[in-house]
Amino acid sequence: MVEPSSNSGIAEARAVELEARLAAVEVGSVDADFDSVSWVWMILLGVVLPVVLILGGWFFGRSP
Amino acid sequence: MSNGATSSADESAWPLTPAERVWSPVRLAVTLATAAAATWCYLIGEAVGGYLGFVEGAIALSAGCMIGMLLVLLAAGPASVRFGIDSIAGTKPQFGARGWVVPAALQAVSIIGWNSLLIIFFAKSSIQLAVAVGIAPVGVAGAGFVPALTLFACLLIFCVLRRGATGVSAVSNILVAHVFVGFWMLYLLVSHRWPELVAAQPLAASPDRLWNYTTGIELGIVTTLSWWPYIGAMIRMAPNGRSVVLPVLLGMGAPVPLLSLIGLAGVLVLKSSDPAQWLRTVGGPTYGIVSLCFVTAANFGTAIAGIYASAIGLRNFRTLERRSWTTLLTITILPVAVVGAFIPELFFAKFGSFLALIGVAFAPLCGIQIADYYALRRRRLDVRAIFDDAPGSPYYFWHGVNPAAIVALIIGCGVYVALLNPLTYVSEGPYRFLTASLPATAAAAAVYLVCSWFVIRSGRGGYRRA
Repeated sequence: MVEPSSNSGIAEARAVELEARLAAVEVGSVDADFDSVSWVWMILLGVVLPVVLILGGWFFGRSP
Repeated sequence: MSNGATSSADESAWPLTPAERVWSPVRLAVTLATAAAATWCYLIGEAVGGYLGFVEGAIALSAGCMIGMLLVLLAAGPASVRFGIDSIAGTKPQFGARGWVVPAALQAVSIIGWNSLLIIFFAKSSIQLAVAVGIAPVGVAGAGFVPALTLFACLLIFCVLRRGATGVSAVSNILVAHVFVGFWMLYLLVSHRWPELVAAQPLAASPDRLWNYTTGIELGIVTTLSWWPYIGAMIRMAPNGRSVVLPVLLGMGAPVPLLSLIGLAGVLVLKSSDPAQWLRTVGGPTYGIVSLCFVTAANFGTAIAGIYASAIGLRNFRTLERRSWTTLLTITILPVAVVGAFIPELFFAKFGSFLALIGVAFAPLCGIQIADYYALRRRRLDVRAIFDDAPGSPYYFWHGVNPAAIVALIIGCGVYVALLNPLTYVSEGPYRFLTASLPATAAAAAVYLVCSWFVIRSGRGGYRRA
């Protein structure tokens, strides 16, 4: 009947590892998603470029 | 990984620490490009070629792909880049401590379904390659080689993924060459057949030019939205948001439309989107063999990335959290192997329709995540709550499920299907002005915001009350 205590030991060790990971990622994660440079690229490539392409394709892309 | 406490970090769904997130932008871009480029590229091109000519089709598809990629990045990106978690763990703030099984099921069915198709494609193109180079007799395809090669591919994928995300990246560094082979194939077709290409007319075009154009854009959007299940498991390996944006938008968003032009050009000029067939026409048997190598490598790289993402997604289930990585990989690959071994032809013929229906859900899913993260939570997430599924925890909502997300998802899917039947492409209402994915995203976001007003008033969901 060693298994229950073994399992409980593993569970406890895993909880410690998860706690360590959570503590590590909490530090410095506030507002750390996309910075201003990232937003510029996202707007340029995800909004401006598609709009330009859509308008350009509509007015100039038609096959003869 | 063992059953013990210590495990290889990229084989678990737990947050990756900053020290473990070491992928450079180039490494991430190479991995994403290898994952994105597969047989579906020329199937997408073939679909667009039914409605639009080459230039219009290329432009509409490129625009749609970039829009879809942005939506996926805005939705799944923040949780993954902040905490090093995958797409599925990132849905817990919206769907709840138990409700995340809904996106997890969508991910599992979508990835396992797509990868079954890709591995069957892999087996078929391997057989064609063996016949083309003379190491297998003509007619070998009917001799049970597809199931055998499918199982062989599953075994190879299993071996590669024993190394977790490192295995994905290592294989991608080799297979990324096929992306450039794809560009070369496109160059060949464009340079040899340009006058025919620009003059070619689509065969299934509607008399309504706006409808055709919108459908090209829609096909691009829905294609890249289907990367939602994959992306979190990859971008969590990069250290921050800045190192993710360009690899995602250019590494994953751009190769898909560019390689889709192979199928688009092929179907317009030679009435075949299969590059192996038309490259033989353009350049003889050697070019055909090169193209078969491209197809084989492309599908293999994508299947590796997909099965890795799916395995990480399954890791979020408590019962699978403690299983060894080997066991988890076996569970993830087994359905693919069974399909490939026993029902490849039936699956090939029928499952595409089901996947088209599943794909409808990713637009509303993105809308829900974007509304929740940017409008309701004001870019604040509680990573502890993501890994706390006890009753009373911030993301427990009611019985572990946020009804606002479920209602929004259903209504978003309903809006999509009301605007565009994904199987027949019969459209209704303002589809021709709006597409179907964008209204479905907006409708899901709006419904989620309205329903969340009641959730916030009840004090659930870990929202900050004004």
